[in-house]
Amino acid sequence: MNLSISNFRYFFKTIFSYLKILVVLVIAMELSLFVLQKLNMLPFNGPSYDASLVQKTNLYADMNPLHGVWRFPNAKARISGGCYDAMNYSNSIGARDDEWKEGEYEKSAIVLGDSYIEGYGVNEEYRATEVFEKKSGIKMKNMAISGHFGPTQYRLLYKRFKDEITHDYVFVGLNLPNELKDEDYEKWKNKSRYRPYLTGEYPNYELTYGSVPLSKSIFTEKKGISSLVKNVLNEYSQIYHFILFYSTKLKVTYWDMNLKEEASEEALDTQNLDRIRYNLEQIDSLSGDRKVFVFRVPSEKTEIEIDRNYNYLKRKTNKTGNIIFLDFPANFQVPKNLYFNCDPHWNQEGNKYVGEGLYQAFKAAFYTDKL
Amino acid sequence: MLFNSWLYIAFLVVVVLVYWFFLSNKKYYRNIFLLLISYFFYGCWDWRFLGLIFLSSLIDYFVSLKIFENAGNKKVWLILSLACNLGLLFVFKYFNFFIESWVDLMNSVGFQTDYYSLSLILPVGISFYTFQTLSYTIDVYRGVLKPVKSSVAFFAYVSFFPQLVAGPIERACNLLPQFEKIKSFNPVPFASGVKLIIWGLFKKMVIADYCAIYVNHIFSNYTQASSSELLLGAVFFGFQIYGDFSGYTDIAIGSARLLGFDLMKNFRTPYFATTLADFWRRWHISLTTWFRDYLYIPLGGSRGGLKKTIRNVWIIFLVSGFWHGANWTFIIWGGIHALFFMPYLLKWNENSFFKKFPAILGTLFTFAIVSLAWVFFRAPSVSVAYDYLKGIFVNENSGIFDQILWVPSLLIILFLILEKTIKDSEVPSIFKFESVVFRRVFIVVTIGCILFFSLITTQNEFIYFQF
Repeated sequence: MNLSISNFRYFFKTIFSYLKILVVLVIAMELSLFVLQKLNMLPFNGPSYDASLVQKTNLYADMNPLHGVWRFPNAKARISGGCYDAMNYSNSIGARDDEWKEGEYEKSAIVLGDSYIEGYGVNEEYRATEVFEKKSGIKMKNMAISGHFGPTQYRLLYKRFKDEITHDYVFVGLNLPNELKDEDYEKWKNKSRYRPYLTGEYPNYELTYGSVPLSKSIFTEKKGISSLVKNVLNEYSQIYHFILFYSTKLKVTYWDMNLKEEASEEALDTQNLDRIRYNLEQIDSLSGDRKVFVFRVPSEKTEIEIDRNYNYLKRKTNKTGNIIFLDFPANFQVPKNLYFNCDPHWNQEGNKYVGEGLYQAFKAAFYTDKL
Repeated sequence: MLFNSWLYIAFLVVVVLVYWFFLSNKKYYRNIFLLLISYFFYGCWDWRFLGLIFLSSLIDYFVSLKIFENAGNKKVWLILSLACNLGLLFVFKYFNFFIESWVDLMNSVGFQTDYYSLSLILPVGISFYTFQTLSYTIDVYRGVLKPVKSSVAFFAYVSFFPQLVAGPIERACNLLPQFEKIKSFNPVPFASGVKLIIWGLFKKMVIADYCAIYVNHIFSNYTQASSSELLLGAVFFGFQIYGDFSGYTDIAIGSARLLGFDLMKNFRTPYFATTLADFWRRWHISLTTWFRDYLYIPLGGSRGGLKKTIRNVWIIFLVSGFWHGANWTFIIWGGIHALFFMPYLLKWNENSFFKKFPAILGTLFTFAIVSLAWVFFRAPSVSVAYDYLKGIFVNENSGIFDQILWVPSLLIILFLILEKTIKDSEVPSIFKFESVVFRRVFIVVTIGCILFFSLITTQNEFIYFQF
């Protein structure tokens, strides 16, 4: 006997009853979490219920023909994961910073770097650059950005904005050995992102863009359906935050495992290191008489490898100009608990720690080199 | 196509709908349909091995007919079937092991021997369907089963997709007649099939895959792990493999039930066993009974006195270990079970001294032995397993995890509580509450847990697919 009409009725009745239970459970859980949130009894931030944060466009995208990725001006977005939650605002030129007013600061610096320097996952006031700013009194104009951004782009971004933005110094944070991978044209040329690379041999490089034109890059202004849905859930669902937080918490050890990588014993990637030092020398040249402070992004991951690469750059970079390599205090490492649990970036405490370390490094250079 | 994938769920829904809508009362076409979708299912892994399963089915179909017709010498036909089936198994699964072991042996006594191995991929499920076809031919030879006339029904029986790649190893006398029956849709077993699939997915995706994260890390870094981590690693692996294999079995039985088929039970809460003998009555029942019926009893079973019984038990366990894989680790795994089975054979457990102990101690002792053996089962080599076990007692490392492994431990405790409520049933009692609403609430919550853990773990293949 095949399926009969009564079987179908039974089947759909059962499914419908499960759906009813599901709806009731979801509503009950949303309400319970809402109450607990109001009583400050949850370890995570809930939804904002702010419609303005549900946006159809991304905060940043591959948009600039010169350096690829950049932020939209005067935009805002909430960037959150299971262990971080931060508001991001861009100013009128697209930097993740407040509006810079002429003449308001005695000394100021343009800061170039990637997501670590941008302060990914923490609010602006807690970033390493802000910590440094408070200690040194130098206004740090943070132009770092996450999203596939390397030294060639630092240089091009600086070239684009250097005359528009008043500044006395330039700070460049190098996230080694990540930058080496980022600069590798052969590795990335056929990827679906638009970005510039250096090809050729030091110092006769040519600026080359990957095979994907700007209009065809996958990182566009318009959000995809899945990220739009995530965005809606982020701003309106307690359950979404609950799942995000606890699934991340259970993954923590898994992330810890991945952290424990051995330092590579391979020969230095001098080809890409030379590309980085060329970019540093060019930034130095573009900056005129201003001092360019270079520092490495400290990490817990592969300290030895970072030092090997950094020392190569220190040794080889032409220092006839104004480049000063900053050295963090001896054995300066960011302990594991100063990172997010679910993401390789520094947490708020980590940013504070690095900001203070950078200040000490800066102070040491200040006493020796005289600003 | 993994059982724990959306693709399989979609595949199953389509198959079930087509089956019950159009084919359930058309026996012949229904069997053709089941055969085709089973071959499609198997071909999704590697279509090249479809020839093997076809060949194995073809040989046993004709051999059993010849045996039944008494054509020539029955024994010759049986030997032909055994040679073909075990020959395929030998070539694909054991050839390289024997060559490697031979070369190692020769080199160890000073003869330099050239190494030669075959670059063969192990066809998924070969040990399972080979044993299934063998049991059919042997049963026909013994006269306990009449050969089936419909080739389509027989081919569909061998390749029936829910149990094709990792069992249960069905007996023809149970499964084959079900292919010859007209099916009628019954919502009760259908609903129980769905529940069993959900419970199987829970075991696989929540228990097994979550434990796997820790197990893999501990076994890969056993030299740096602390003693307690190594100990927990062995325990977690016990639950990983149980969740993985019994989860697969539940999904297989549940899927078959959605099509109106009843597959045999393969597990009965084995970690609550009070003796090792009890454990083997509860663990991988279809394989244990297969070895009992087709190897242990033909060897004389327990009829030839204690010495012969001990010999037969050792043979069964060593062969069982070897069935799992061509590696000395599996043979030692079987050996450990045989060794700790001896007190049971010698009836030490009936001694009044042991009878004074509460049953829970028996359960804990049995679990400890099983976990010890699992280390050999999981380790890539005997030396790794030895070092791992040694490390449990002598390691003074600070460990590889920064925190106490409380999440998987709590999860296992929760799982054991749920398992305890299963008793002689198939699913925990929360799935069988009197109140329909409560029952459904628990089912929805279980599905929620499965989806939640799918965000945490990576999709892993079932461990027993490699056998």
